[in-house]
Amino acid sequence: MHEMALAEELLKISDEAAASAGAEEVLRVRVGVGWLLQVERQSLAFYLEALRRDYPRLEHAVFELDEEAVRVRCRVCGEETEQAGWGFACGACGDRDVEVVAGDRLEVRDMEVRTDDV
Amino acid sequence: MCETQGEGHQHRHLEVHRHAMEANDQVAARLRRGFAARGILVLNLISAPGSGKTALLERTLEQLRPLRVSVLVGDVETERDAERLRRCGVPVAQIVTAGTCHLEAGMVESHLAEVDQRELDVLIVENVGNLVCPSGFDLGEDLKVVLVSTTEGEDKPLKYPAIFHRAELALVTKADLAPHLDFDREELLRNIQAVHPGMEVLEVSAKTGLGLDLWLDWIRAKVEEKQSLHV
Repeated sequence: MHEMALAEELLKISDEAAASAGAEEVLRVRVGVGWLLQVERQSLAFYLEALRRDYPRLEHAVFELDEEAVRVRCRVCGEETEQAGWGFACGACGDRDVEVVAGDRLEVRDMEVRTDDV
Repeated sequence: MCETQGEGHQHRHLEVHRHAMEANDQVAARLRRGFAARGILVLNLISAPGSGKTALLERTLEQLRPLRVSVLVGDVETERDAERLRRCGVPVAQIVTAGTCHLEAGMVESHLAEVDQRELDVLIVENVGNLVCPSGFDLGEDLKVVLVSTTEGEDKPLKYPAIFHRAELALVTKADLAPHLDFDREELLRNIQAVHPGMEVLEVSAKTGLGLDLWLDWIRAKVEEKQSLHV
């Protein structure tokens, strides 16, 4: 259910980025959905659709929701490895002393916009 | 930034890389600085509805004296939990989220004025009963504590791993009921460790007082740690 709050933030960020670039219309927004956040992509897509009425620039935008896997950096051997499930451990040396370096964010990565000629 | 020419307009590619949680995280960072400046330990208690957060808090508040404790309690509706906790004689502010399934940092910030931070060692935030949504929202706390009751089933950590991953401590509540249930204690402990290797676990009962001393000592140790950083 927190997908509603997250969708609202994604729309705000996309709209701000478009506005500050002087864009008239947003065509495409690429969103990275970190696995660690346990965001239900279908639900997020539903709320993006429902809430974007408040953002005229985003009316026809296509939202691409790309799942991002969790990656950890090992504090012992320094290797960075992708994780397939919970109970994170270094994929190289197996140590549990790891730090999450990817997959913990829900972010607007990049977007395609249309600007009118000046 | 690449640009392609169209008819009367152009298409542009924008790199954005902004996190949906950034607005919440900014407020949380501000809260955390404020708590640090005052040496206040902040705990964010998260569990499913009915796992016994409020009952455990009632016992906790009575026994933590002389530590000065306040509670912010989040619920979707009603002031019922705040009324229960106020009877323990500590300042309590109720955050009614009116439908929102989790607390956000801004809600904590806007209710902070209701507790006197100058006279405080511990602030306990009782989150909205929900194991999914609250886990991603930083409230400026020092530590998250997840509660799971013996009546909920051993597979809770596997079904709701994010909160077990993020929390520092797991409290197994209603431990007094275990003998009356088909509760596999070892299985629950195994599942917790599968999601969060090395996670601290305490088994408690608000009803009989079982394990409460360990939980109170855990809080006292964290308070001491926090206050030693605050000179």
